[in-house]
Amino acid sequence: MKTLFSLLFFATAFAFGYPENIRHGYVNCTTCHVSPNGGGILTPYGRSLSREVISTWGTEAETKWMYFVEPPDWLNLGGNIRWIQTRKDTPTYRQDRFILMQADFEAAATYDKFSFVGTLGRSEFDRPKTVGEFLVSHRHYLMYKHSDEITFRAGRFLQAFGLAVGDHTVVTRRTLGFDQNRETYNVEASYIGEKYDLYVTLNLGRIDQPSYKRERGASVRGSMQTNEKYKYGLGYYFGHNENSDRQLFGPYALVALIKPLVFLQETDFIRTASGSGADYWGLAHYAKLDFEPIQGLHFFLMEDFYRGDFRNALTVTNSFGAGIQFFPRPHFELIAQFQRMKILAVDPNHYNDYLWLQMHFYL
Amino acid sequence: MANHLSDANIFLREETVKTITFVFLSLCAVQGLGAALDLGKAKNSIEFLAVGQPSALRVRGRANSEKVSQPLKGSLAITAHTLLGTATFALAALETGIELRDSHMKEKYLEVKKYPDAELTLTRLDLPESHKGENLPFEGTLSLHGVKKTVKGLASVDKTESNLSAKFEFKIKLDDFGIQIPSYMGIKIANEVTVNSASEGMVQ
Repeated sequence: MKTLFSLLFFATAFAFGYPENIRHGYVNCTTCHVSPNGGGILTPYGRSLSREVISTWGTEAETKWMYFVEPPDWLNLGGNIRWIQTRKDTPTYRQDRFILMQADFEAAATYDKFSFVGTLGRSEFDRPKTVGEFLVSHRHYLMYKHSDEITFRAGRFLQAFGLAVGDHTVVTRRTLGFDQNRETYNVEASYIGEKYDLYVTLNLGRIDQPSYKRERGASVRGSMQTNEKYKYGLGYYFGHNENSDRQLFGPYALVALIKPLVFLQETDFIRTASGSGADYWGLAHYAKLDFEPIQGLHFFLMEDFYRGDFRNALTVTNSFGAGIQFFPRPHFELIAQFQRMKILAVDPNHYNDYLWLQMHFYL
Repeated sequence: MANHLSDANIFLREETVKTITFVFLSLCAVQGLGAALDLGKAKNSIEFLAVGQPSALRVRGRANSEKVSQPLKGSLAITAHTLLGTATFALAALETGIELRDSHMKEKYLEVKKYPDAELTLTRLDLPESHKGENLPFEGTLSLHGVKKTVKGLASVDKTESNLSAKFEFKIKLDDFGIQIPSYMGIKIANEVTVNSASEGMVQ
């Protein structure tokens, strides 16, 4: 058995949220996050929950930014630092690395109904030569809160589609293009009501970096809650770049079967029309079962499946795994995950095994 | 002093009316004119649903009988074509799933030490001849947080020979009962709260 602790597959929550909190009745992201679509900087209520429902131990006092800073009401502060221990173990060599993976600061300033949210952090450049290469702002947007239910925002952020799960490496996130550093410039309108929510996003691509040739298009995502423990949604995405048109369409669900047990799933059909005239369908699927026997300690099972083109079996990627996620005290998250993955285009006969350990400190 | 005497008289009068009502209902039941359900012995569920904004946070509170044994007491009785009775609920039994929220709810807003019980007295619930029906309008008097108010809602009743099942849903406004609107870290609970109760058991 070949075991890889590999950078290629490090899974982190990056800017994403924890939809598993539906077990506590938190069906909408905006209870804990400033962003209507969740992830990123926390609201004061979200900070409080980091002790009350997320962590095993801790005190209310330690939920403050950097433990002791209590910013004024108009300002929220956040940020994330992540490290990962990786091992690459092949028949010919073994390599261990301890890597600083993310270091971001985030702030949200609010005046009346307007908020400006921005991140600034270390870029993914291996050897940055200029300040511009060393620093990056993955998200920066202006938000207008028209009412408790309706919000508009414009700027750079990840558009709403499917489940914004913590593990951004699964096929419904990374493979479909909703990963860290894939944020585009968007204009979004969102409605978040007691039973329904709806996000309509116009994607302008990377207007700051046209050479990246990112897709432009639009997406619609809506969901309904049958009660505070069940949420079902549908998403549609259209993207166009000079090489192809891509459409994604599919349902997703968050279900708190019982309080300790949460099931998440997303299935998306993919239709690709390439410039050469080829028109084909594919599928991406993700499911996770999360069990929290005591507060802050999670055991989970996951599986994902991707087939980019139904006509071609070599476009299949499939993985399944298990892991432990632990929030000992506010500010800390630890993850250990084992995953078996088969990429048919690389090796159609064998699964590769991956293990990784991650430490996350949120400011 | 006079006010205190007057309050005491009102209290005594209400207690007397309740006692007479209970005795009358019990006699009716004994005489075969109706049937009474002892809520203390019934299977009960009490819930409330409050919505917080922004984010449409749904806060559901439930009675936990591990916190207070027999949180609901009182009786319901069917006489001819009405269902009447009084139910007293120990508010300390309420839980919302988050300890800090529970302590805020009980200490700061409901002031459970000062006002430990909520009491609902049914004043009107007309039943069909079958003693079975859904969405039946009812009226009652709710005593909560030291304030008495008339409440209106809908009930579902199902009476068989030996069993009575009764479900009630009504809405209250917190400020009607002098309860401060709960607010915490930017999330504010709506003034209107929905209350549901369900009781089922053997009738006597």
